Amino acid sequence: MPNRNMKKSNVKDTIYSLADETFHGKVTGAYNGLQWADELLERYTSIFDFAKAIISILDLDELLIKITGVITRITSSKGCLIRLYENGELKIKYYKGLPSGMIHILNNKTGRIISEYVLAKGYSLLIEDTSLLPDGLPSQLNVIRLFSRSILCVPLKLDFEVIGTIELFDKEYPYDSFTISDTLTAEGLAVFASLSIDKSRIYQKEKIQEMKAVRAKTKLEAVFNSVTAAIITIDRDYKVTSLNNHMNNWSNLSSLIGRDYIDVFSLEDSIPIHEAVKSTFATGKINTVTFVNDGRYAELTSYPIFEHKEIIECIILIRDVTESKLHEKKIIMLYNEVTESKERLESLVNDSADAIITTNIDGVITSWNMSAERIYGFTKDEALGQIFPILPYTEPDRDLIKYLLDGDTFKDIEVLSKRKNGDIIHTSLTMSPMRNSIREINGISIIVRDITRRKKIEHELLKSNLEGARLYEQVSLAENELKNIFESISDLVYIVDNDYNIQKVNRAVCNLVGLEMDGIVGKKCYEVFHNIDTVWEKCLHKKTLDNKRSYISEAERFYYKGEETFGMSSSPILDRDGNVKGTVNIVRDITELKKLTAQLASFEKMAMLGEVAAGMAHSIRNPLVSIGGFAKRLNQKLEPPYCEYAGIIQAETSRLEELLRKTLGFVHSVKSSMTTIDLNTLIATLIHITMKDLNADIAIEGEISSEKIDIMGYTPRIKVAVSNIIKNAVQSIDKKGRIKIKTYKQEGFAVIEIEDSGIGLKKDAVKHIFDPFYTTKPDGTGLGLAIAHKIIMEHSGSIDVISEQGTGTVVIIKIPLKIDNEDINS
Amino acid sequence: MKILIVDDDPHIRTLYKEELIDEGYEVVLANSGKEALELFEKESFDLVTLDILMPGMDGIEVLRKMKEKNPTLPVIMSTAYDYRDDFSVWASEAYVVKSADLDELKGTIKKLLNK
Repeated sequence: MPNRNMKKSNVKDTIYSLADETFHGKVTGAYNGLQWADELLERYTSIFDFAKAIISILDLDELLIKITGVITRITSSKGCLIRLYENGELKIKYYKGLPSGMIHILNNKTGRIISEYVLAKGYSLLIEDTSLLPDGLPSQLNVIRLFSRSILCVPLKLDFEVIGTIELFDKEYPYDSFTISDTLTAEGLAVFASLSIDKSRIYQKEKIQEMKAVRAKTKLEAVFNSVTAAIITIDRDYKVTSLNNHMNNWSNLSSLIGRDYIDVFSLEDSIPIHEAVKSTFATGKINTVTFVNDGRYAELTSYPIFEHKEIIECIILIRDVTESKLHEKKIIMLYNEVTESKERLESLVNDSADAIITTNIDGVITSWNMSAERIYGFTKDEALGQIFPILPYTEPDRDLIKYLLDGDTFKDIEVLSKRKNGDIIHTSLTMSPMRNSIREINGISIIVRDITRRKKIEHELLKSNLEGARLYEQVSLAENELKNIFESISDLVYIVDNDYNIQKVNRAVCNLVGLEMDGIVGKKCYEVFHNIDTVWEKCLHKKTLDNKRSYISEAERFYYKGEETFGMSSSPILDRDGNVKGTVNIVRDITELKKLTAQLASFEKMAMLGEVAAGMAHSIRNPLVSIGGFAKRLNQKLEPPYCEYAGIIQAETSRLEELLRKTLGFVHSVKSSMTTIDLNTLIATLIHITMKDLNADIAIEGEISSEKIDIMGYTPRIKVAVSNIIKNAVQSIDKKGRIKIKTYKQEGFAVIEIEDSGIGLKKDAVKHIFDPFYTTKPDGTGLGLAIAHKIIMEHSGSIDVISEQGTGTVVIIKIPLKIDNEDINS
Repeated sequence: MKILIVDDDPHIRTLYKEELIDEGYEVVLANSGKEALELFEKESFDLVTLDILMPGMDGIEVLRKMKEKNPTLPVIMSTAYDYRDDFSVWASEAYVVKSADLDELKGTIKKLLNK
């Protein structure tokens, strides 16, 4: 019998020992043989049936329902509860015939005592009668006592491992207690139940794994088809084993699986791809190649798939990289363009006859072109990093540099410099500040022109004689004037490609054409400049393209809207391989230059005439003097009427002499000192004198400047020059008309404008108007304007004639203003 | 007063001679630069009128040689063409363009001899 003096605190031990006693007491109970055999047969039959019923059930839940159902039936139990041992504790998996309040108790610590006992011991526990349990048990167990009178708990065992328990509560009618026989039956059933549960669990596990596998597969497939790249897998025989939708973009074939993968790509050159894949199979490395298919750029990457360290398949991933490639190409193109334009600029700089040098703000040379090498004798390598000028001849002007850094530009500063070999050279410098992108001055650009030769010529001319110097003065004056004109009218510079498309123009071109750069660049040069739809007959660009060399020429009406004469130069732009890529064209309006050249030519003519005149004078004047001289003597000695005849000879001779004097007068100059001439007074006097001799039909009006205009000159000669022109103006007026004479100052010159409303001149006549003996009048000598021209030239001035037939003529005389001492001092 | 007239034109020589004799001068004639210098060696003159353009030695050469010998001797350049711009004639005392009217020449001679 159970020991009733047990300690309250050790409930677990108490019930365990109690159970041991109960169980063993029953086992040791006496059975007769037949009853045992009947029972045994019945038991095995029911176990066999049970095994049959549950063995095919794979689903655990279904199995547990079945087990519970069969066990309660066979053992005639009212309630049944199955626990399975999972993750270190017994968990209720299924129950039947038990009120929920009891389940709650059975699931807590106290309620688990019986099953934990069975789990720990590994054998069954039979409590035949709960009322026999000792007092002082926890209240929950007391509750069990209320619910159930007899409890049988058997272990679910696999070999020696307990995987759970089956608890049976109370027998159905005849309300008996569970017996040893029930225990053995339940234990037998439990063996099969355990096996089935284990089998079901394995099945369950596999089912989960299968589900996981299926899910993974689905997921993979989704990924496979949703990535924007095309994917194919190939086996070691290079046959396609799978592919995704995007492969459609790369292949026209409808069914690809099983085919040779190279057939998938309809490529001219599939070798790089094959090499990549082959290498992946051989080395297990990931390879990437790029190829072009149907104008699209593709990047192909091959990945190995290992199985047991063997490469069994290869995954090929193909991405369309056209966009990024095109972007890349664009960048390369842009880069090339930048490089080209840089080279073009460099070649422009190098081809320039002028040295182009840049320095930083400290004067350290940062670039040095070919002409700089030529002028100074230093190579680029020698020059870079040196302070400019490398061999100073005179101390550089510090102020100049200061002004440059303040943003000023200096033009045509003439300085002496030393070459590398020590030679002294004359140079003309144009210096201007350079700015970076944020408009800060970061250096100085220097354009150097070697003017040594010009200076030498100047020097020699000065030495030779005064006449020569004067001539030189005229030339250099003309040259200066020319320079001024060039400076005021910038040259047209433009670049044309091989297809006659204009690629670049300067501001001067825009000004000429009257369009912004955008409106010119890209158009054909012959459209823009000549307004024709085919190549211009005088096109230098064409000649340059054809013969790969530079050309220079002149043409009238280069620009279709104007009459101007243009000097044109065209030079080829070569690429690295020496092919012509286009031309640089420089076009300048040389109309003014032509005019000045013409003036010089007329001057030369005059000088020649001087020599002729000297000879003529000798051979005509000598006889005239004799004739006239002796006639005078005869006049004195003879009687009338013969003395009168001699007088006639004398008078006629002096007329001839006068003509001769006039003819020769303009070819020599009178050496006397120049004086200050008040031009306004002189002109006013001339107007007054002219007016006295004019009839009322010709009006003469003066518009004399209110400013005082002083020039240096020979008063009588200036008078002659101006009055000759006024006389000409008067003669050009047929009957009625007017003459307007204006004086004013303009850019260092005194200007006299004589405008008439006369018959005007033909275009051809304007060209020759200053030629000696050229006349449009039947009784003219052709000397008046030639003399005027010579006199104005003597005064370092100029005469221009603007004339239109039927409208009149304007003669514009310019003479340099007198430079005041005050001006010099300031 | 003795004046040397140098001119290659015989009529001019005659005209000058007669006119100047009328004025009361003693006149010696030379038809070339060479002859003039030879006379210059032998005789002394108070004044010389000198043509420039002559065959052989020209007047400028003659002027230079005469001035070397006698720098204070007055020389009048008398020419058909106006050479006044030419530095070479600066050495002469006066410059007269030939004319049928000899008043300018006569006036210049008078002025130079009265100094």
